[in-house]
Amino acid sequence: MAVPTPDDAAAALAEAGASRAQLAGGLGLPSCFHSSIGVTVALQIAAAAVEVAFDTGWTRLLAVAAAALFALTAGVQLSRFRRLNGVRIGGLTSRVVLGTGWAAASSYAVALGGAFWAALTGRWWLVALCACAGGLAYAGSGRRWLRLYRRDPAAHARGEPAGWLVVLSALALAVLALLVLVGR
Amino acid sequence: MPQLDAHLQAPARLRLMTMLTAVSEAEFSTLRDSLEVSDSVLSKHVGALASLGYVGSHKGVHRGRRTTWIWLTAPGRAALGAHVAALREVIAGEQADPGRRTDLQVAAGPMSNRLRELRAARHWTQADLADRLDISEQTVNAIETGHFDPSLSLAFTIAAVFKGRIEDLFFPAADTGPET
Repeated sequence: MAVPTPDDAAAALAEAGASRAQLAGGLGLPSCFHSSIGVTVALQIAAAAVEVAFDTGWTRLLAVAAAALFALTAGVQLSRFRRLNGVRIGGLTSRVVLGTGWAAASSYAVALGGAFWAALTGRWWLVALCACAGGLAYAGSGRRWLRLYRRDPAAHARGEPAGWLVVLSALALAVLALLVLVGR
Repeated sequence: MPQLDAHLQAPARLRLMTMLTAVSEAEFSTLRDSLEVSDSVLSKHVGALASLGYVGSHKGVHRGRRTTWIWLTAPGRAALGAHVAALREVIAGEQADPGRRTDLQVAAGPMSNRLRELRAARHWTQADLADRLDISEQTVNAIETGHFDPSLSLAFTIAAVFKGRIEDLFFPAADTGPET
């Protein structure tokens, strides 16, 4: 096999890098992508807080409906992204939609905790504020991921390993259960 | 000696593999359009890479049509990493660090050039010019499209082939070129 000249090698790497940057830079988001995710996260936080405060059949239904709305929105938006661009990106699914990035996960946890405390102490204006802040931070961290991805696609394309997602989900459920128990 | 992967020597394959590092999986037509190759050429490359276990594929639906989705496997990722490292070693043979750009180069920004114009004036194809410069056609294309700034020695060779000076051929992208 012939060893390429340094210029040929450099050109090959430059071309490959340019192709990757072009692909990543050309990806578009479906309309209302970040806003729909942010709004449904805010609704989910608010509904969960209402459920923690009252815990009736209706509030349970409301919390489940809000979670289902988030799941449906996430599924539809990911499907639209895939259809629009002809690619699937694990990093987008886990970091932007499922909120496994540090900023999204921590802001969500703080907003949810704040909303629970506010609901249990009857400060409903604060529940609304926490829900909105949670949704905004969630959407904002998604925008930040996209900027980072476009700067270095290879480093940010991959999603979290499935095992880590299971651990994170279990941890989130445990925290939720603890908050509910403490609230009573 | 760098261990280049013979299966990744073809520029289209290196570009395909590199593009796949930016996604979890990509649809066949998306890759075909990005690489600007025909269906059969891409099929051939994907088939060869799949037989080596470098890429995987599955059938799916895209925009209501049955199509093929392609992804980079773990062995493929490792092979690409090793090949890129080997290419960097080749480049390092000429300069200490292939990614190195001096402060002056960074300040100058990307370069533009008149290669395409001068080549067309002589009715040379990219292959003709590549032969004269003893580099690959791919490299000529990369220089012409501004994806690659040649080394100083290659720039001198290019200038000699066109019987001109380097500054007549290459100039900062912000400029429109030397006055004629």
